[in-house]
Amino acid sequence: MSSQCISCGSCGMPLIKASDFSGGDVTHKLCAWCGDSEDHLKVTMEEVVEDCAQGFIEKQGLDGEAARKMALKYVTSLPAWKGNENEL
Amino acid sequence: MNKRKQQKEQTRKKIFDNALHTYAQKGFLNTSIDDLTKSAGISHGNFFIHYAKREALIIKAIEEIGKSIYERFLELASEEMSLENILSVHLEVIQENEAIYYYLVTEGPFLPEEARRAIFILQNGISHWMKKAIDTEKTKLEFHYFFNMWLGNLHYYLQNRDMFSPDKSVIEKYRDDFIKMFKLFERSEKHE
Repeated sequence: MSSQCISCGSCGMPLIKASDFSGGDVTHKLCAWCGDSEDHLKVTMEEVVEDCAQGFIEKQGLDGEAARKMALKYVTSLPAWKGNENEL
Repeated sequence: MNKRKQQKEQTRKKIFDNALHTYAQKGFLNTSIDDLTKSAGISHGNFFIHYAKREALIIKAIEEIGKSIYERFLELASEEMSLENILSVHLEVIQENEAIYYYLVTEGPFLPEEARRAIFILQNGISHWMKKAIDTEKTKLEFHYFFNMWLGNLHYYLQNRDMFSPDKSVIEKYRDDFIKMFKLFERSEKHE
C-alpha cells in the first residue's frame, strides 16, 4: 500500500497543482497559504489550528470545542508542528 | 542498508501486509496477536520487536488505509467534476476497499483515538471535494448536512450489507440509486 500523497507539512492540505505549493515550486514542503516563496512558515500554529477547526465545523458540522481539539491533535501530528501540542 | 536492517524491514512489511489482509477478513478488534503472527509466520517475540502493542499496528494500518483511499480518490477526482461524478468516484474508491472499509465503519467508534482521527481526516478530505461540487450559496441547508447525509446513508447500507445485499457488493447494487437520491435531495434544497 503506497502513501505517496503529497500534502502540506503544516496544514495537511493535498498539494496537487504547482500553484498549491509555496512559491509555486513543486519541490517545496508547504502549501501556498502556510509557506512563503522560500518555503518558510508564514503562519503561526494557532492560525493553522483555527483554520483547520473552522474547516471541520463547516464541512463536517463538528461542535466548536471538539473541532478545535481534533484540529490541535491533527496539526501537531504534521511535520511542521510535531510535538508542539502543549504550546497553545 | 545492511542485511540485518533489510531483513527487519522485510519482516515489518510482511507483518503489515498480512495484517491488512486479516483485518479485511476479521476486523480490527477481532484480530488477535495470534492471528497476526500466524499469518506472517513469525513468533510473538518477533511481533513485539516491530509493534509494541496490538493497537500500534491497528493505528498504523488505519492511517495507511485512510491515506491510500484518499490518494486513490485524488487520482480519479478533478476540480471541474460535477457532483454526480464526485459521488461516483467516492463510491468507486470505497468499493475498491469495501472489505476493510466495512470495519472502519462498524468498529470506528471503538478504535483507538489516533485511528478514529485518521478516519475523520479521510472523511474531511472527501468532504472538501464534495463542497466544491455543491453550490452552497443556492442551498437552504449548510453544507455539512449534505455531506453527513451522504455518508450516513452509505454507512448504514454498508453496516447492514448482509440484509441489503447478501450476494454482492452493496455499493455495486445501490450506487446508481444512492447518486440519484442524493441529487434529488440537493436539488430540492436549492432556493427558488
